[in-house]
Amino acid sequence: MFTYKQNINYNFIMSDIVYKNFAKIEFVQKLVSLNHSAIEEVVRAYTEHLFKASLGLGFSEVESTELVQNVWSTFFDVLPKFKGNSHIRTFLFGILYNKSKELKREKAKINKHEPIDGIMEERFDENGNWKNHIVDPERFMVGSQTLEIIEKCLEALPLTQKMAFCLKEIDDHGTNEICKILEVTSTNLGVLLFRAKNRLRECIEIKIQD
Amino acid sequence: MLTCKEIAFILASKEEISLFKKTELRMHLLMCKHCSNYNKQLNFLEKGVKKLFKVKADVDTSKLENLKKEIIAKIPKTKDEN
Repeated sequence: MFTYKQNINYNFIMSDIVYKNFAKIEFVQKLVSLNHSAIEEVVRAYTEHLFKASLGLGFSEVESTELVQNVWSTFFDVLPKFKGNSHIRTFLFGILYNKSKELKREKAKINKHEPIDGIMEERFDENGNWKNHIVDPERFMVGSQTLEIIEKCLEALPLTQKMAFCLKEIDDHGTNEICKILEVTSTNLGVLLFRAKNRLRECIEIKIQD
Repeated sequence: MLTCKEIAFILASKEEISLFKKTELRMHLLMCKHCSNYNKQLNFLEKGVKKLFKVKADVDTSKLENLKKEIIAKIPKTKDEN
């Protein structure tokens, strides 16, 4: 646990430096000309963010892995056409947003069975053993009751609202960047957040009363 | 004067408001129990969501490293590499 926390702090300090480096014109030119090491730097910097964002959007680990791979392969395809009028991270998360929409549509078509079955399937390997460690019980006790409710309610939110929330809470995306990713005005972003929070609030109030 | 409805929107949307309105908002929250409860609920909600995202994002670093390696292997090859 300790090393994990250290990691986060380290990443937090680094991300600002990385962000500024990636905004330099020379770097963008390298990217557009498909310079291998430049692309590799971007992959190293943002794969984790993308993965965590897609988990935050409610996709499973397996789905998130596919989604992130999908985002990068699209990114590689369209990179030569990148104009550099927004930050590369904004561009990347815009792709994530569109790919998430596609995946959600696909899932809605196919996935009509009980979702918990699929989740439980993924918990075990071919031998029927637990794949992941089980979260330590104390942390579970403290967090689960309300978090479980929040998670359930969050699931019911439309993707755009979830994404707005997710981008704000997970990374240090500023309001302007979020607007660009979601292709909305700042007024609309306010409305999105307002709706998202109130949907959650209503939903939690109902669940607590049960 | 701001109505409770307007206050609720400002609180949830995190809309940028003037200093004058900010003062009015603070006064309103002191006087109006409903709005102040609503604000507390929102704070709780935001903290909860943040915590939820953190729990969800607690992934094995080895898994992430593997994913990175896989993607790096797929980076298109170019001629101008040194």
